Amino acid sequence: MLEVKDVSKKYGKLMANNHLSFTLEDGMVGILLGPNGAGKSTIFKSIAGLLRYEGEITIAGYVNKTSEARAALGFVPEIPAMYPNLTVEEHLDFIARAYRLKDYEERKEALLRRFELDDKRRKFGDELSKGMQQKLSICCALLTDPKLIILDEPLVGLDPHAIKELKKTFEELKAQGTTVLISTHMIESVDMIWDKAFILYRGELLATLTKSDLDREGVSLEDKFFELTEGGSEE
Amino acid sequence: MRAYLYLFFHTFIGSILKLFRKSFIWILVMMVAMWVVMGVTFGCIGGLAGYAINKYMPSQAEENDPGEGEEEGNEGEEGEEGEDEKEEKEHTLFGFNVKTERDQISRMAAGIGTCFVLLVIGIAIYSGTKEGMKMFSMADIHHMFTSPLKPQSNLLYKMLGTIWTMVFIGFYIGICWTGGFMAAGFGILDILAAVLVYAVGGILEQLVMLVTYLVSSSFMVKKYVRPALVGILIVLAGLAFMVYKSTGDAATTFMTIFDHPVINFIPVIGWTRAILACTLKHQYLMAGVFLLLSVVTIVGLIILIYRFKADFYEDAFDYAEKLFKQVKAAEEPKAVVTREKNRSKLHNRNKTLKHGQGANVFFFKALYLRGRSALFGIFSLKMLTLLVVIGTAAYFMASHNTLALLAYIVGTVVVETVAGFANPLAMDMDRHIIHLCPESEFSKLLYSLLGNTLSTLIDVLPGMILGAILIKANVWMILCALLITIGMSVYASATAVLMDSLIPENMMEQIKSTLSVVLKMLPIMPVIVTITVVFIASENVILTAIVASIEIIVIGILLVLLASYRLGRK
Repeated sequence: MLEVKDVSKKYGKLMANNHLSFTLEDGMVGILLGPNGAGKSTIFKSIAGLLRYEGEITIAGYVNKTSEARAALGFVPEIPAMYPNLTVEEHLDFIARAYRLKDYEERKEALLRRFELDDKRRKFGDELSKGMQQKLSICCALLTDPKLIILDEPLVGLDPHAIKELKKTFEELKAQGTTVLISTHMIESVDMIWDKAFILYRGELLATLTKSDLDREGVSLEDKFFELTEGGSEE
Repeated sequence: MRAYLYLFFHTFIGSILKLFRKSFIWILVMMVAMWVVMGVTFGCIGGLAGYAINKYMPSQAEENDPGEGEEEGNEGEEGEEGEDEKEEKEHTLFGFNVKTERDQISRMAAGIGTCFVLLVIGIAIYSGTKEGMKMFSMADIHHMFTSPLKPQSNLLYKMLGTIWTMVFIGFYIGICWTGGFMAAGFGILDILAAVLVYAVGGILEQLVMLVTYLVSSSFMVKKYVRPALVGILIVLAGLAFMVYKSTGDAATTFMTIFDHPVINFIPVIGWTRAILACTLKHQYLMAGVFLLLSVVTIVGLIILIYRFKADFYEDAFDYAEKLFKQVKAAEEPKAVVTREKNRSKLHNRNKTLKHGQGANVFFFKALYLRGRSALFGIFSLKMLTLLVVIGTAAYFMASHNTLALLAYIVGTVVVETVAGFANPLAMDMDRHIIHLCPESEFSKLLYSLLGNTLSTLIDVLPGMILGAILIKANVWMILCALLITIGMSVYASATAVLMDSLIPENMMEQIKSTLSVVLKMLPIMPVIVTITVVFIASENVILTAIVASIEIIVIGILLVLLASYRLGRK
């Protein structure tokens, strides 16, 4: 579903992504792990088609900057930014029009209920708290029923209920065959659902791990992560 | 298309709803006042224009039929030389001979049109290489850019919004200043042509900026653009110098260069200015042809932008992210604002604010801030710039006495007004510092504006004195000009404070710009009425200027009252 081939991105002299290559197959949940400054957000922005880079990224077989690829992608940015003069409901209606969705009303209502936004549907974008904006951003990405959804630090700023609902959503997405790529610091929050983990460090891909391999080794993802990035497990 | 229409319509409705929710009565009163005042004003403007045209301008018959007119004139001249002198005196307004120099006004206006188009296109090319993608917000990046909407469609959507604002503002200003133009002897078609040039120039500015950005970033020619602009400026300066040497007169040089008939045939720039130039010469068919050519150019540029496959998302993202972070940082209680450039070395950080207590601390703060960034605490950059600009202009204008005083006064007032539309209390209001001082909102605002006005006065005074000496101006006229400048400074600052307290920060850009222009123009309309009435009644320029200035200051204080009431309710 997602193929990142030899992608490099430079900001001036800083190499944010250095020849990254990885793939995420259909229906898998991948997680991108790495300390601050590892290049996680940069690769996410590159996948979303927001940056210029060297290399190749394809989504569902299409180059990521084509309309077909964008239609197949749902993107939840690290810091949500909403239109200040559109209400919660209008954000979703706009997304539906931009993606040419039909019969989306039921899905919209379900998402609003699930993320407890149904009583805030008339609130404007700039009247929402950061957590609510994050919820709306997730709803916008889920509304289009994407084949691939990428979420950059989606749990930051959410209340416990929303975290629980989002985790449940990840499981449902996995069950319905949607490919998910999550960038997070909170390893324990995705420990039960991940299939593939990509460890990034200083712009380079240190390792690609699969859950079955780690289970066989009897090592937790957290221990493996610290072993790779700090040279030993954290007690 | 459906998505863009939805976004535009609902953003518009959302902005209006928010505006009315916060300031319903205010907006309603403003709108009613706008229409009432505009009605009265146009009546008075018509009166003044008719009066001025009848009294000072040669009759249409005289203008259009020079042969017959001359004959009749010659017959009359033989025995009525004394009357001619009297008539010549009557044709003088603000030291400016309206009868003999009417053709020159038209040529000057056409030249100003050329300069305007040159300036906007030059700025567009310059900023196109630097900040061609500043129009997108972070919400656009997250919702539009990641959707299947075409990048070029996103670009056109944002650009058309800006263009709409430009056209509206052009027509609104045209309507507001119709009286002024008519009093200067221009007809309705001339004013319409000027507005069209303003609107077309504004649209071209946006389009050229985008085309420059797309071409320069795609073909890696960015580094050649600015040297090319500097080269054109050097050529223009060289040309001006050569023409000035042969004519010895600044006004003639200006008209020779910027109102040369050949300019009309330069694509884009020439075609646009020709709309005004041909209208002023009553060549309406040619003006129409040039308008058509300009419209074709606009359509062509829009198609070019739509067809141009450039990857601009990263640049747009960079600007939007930078702005987004700045706004977020400013919203934080312990905000640390980082500056892209270091503060000037002139900033004296060892000084402290020693004077003032209570509300008047805002008066001393304005002076303190001015002094801190000024050389020896006196010579600010603004003061030195005005000294050089006014001094140079006055030096060249001194050779053309009849136009000097008028241009000098109008220029100074316009510069000061445009520069003055900045809220001196913006930071105090944003950070709620103004509420920390336990005094009435009115006194805090008034003291702040007084401090700001005194700073302006200190900045303007040296330039005005130098200019006055160079053009040997009438002392009373200069004092009037100073009074008008002070009045406009109070009015402009008070309007800016009111705007900041009335218009929500996140308002849709088009509505925000439109409301800003209405708010800036609205309070000045009663002044136009006063000028009309006092001038027709007294025919005394100095008295008119004094009354108008006092009125502007009173309006400024009223605006402060309104702003302080709004501020107190927040």
